[in-house]
Amino acid sequence: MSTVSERALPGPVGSDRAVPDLGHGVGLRRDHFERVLSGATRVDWFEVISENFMVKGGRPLHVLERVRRDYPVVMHGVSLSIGTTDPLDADYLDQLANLAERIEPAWISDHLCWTGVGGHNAHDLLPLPYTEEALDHVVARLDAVQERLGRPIALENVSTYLTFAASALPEWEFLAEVARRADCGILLDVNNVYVSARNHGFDPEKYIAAIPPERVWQIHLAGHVDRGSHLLDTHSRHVCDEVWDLYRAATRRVGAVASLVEWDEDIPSWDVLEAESDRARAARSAAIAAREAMR
Amino acid sequence: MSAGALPPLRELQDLVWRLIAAPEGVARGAAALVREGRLASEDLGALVPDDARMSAVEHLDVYADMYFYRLRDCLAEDFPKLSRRIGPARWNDLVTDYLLAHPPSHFSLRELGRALPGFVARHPLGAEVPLLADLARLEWARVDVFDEADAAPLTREDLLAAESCEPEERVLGLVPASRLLGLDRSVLPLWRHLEEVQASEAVDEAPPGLEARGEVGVVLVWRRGFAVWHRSAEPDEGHCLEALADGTATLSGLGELLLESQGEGAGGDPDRAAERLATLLQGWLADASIRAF
Repeated sequence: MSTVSERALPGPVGSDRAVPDLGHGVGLRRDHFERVLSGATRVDWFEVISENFMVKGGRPLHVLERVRRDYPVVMHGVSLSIGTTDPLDADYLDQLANLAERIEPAWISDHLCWTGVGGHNAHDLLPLPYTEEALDHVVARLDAVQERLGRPIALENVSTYLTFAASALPEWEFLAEVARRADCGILLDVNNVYVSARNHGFDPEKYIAAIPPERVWQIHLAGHVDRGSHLLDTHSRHVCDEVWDLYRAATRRVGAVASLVEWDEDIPSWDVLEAESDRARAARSAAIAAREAMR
Repeated sequence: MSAGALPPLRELQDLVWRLIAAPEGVARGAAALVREGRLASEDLGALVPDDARMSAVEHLDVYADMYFYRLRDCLAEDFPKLSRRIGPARWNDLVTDYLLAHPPSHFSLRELGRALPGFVARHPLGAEVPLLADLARLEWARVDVFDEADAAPLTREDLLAAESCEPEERVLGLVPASRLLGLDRSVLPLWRHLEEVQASEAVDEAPPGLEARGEVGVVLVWRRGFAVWHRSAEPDEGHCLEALADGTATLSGLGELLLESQGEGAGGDPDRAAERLATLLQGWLADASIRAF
């Protein structure tokens, strides 16, 4: 099994980012297992939903191990529930740690959210109130999680469809402060920034400008749908032009970091997905060139 | 939450959970919370501000819809034949009832349907068409073995190469990726029928006679390689499979079981039992469903 450092490009010169630039990846989904295993692809790395592989055996684990022989893999979770007021799920963390030991991911990520309370799990990424109480709570839990996993993790900003009256901070300040206090990475989902900005009427570029660049380990790109009253993050279509613009703006700010196209519903053919990843590669190259020209 | 007060995080999360998991929607969920004294008013604006496009209830309803539809669709993936057989309206109702009784608690969606077969058995739907509970059990067993632990199955070569003991005394068992079910055998033709029509629209009615009750027998569900299979077993094989599932079976013990299964007591025919065991063993080796300990 190759290690990340053997395959990955180095980070940007002068960067004190804790992780390497993996290049351009896509989510590893069942629909594409055969294609990915059957030969070379143009993507540099894969992201997997951690929980889908926290199983005892069978085809998913077999495919993941095969893929890992040839590509860096990032484990992206959806059930850490870092913001819940329930106790940390020790069984979950054990299984996550076991999978990480088996797969040796480039890094582990999850979401800045909560997924349930009272022992229940909504299997959704629920927003937090952006308060000092929530900040202290999340940072304390992140400390415990990172201690248990023996490594820092990255947290992703989620798309939101409501705000809480209790919130005292803008989301971008909350995210940046969590990352600073917990010394963790940020998985910056520019589609989520755009969706939330449209839903709540803030400037997405202001969000990007407030994120500490050295904390950004990875960028997510995805598609969404317009439901009239709100945008819904569905990962079901091409990345829209406004999100490409935001990606370029984010790249100019944070430099070359691992980028990934998410596509989880109405999953297209491999060729379409790979072409979307190619588009991200071209957009990032142009943005990096513009960044260098500005120096 | 008293009027005008901002709830601490725990109380806020409890309220949001109750609202988005309310089976009849956020507005009725809020009314229930008022009746319980948990909310001062059904006006949720003090928790989630309205904006120009959406009210507080509408904001929360986005999450309530995602909660239900995501879980409903996940269950339909694990129970494709049950959901198709009963059609979308009754599937919605069944899932609503199920989520009320068994709100998801595991970190993985993979576990969401574990209690559904038992729930169907106790549900009015199961009373109406008893075979549906067995259909659900069969579908869940297939889900369960799909990503169960891997283990090398016993091969003919393994059996012959045993050095430490006589082949007849090796302890055998089923591979971990297997489940032994006691099912109404009629569920198997129903499953096959639904498999054949899977590409068509929802099947509201099975062909006449297909859902009639039949004999209960042993059904083996197992994974060979990455493919999941199931088949019924004759009563004598069923006894052997139960012994194999216990993980304490030996070939000589299985031979004795088969002798007893002849129903002739001590006067059974050992040659016939040995011949039957050889036939069964050949089948298990071909199925890759047994292993040696």
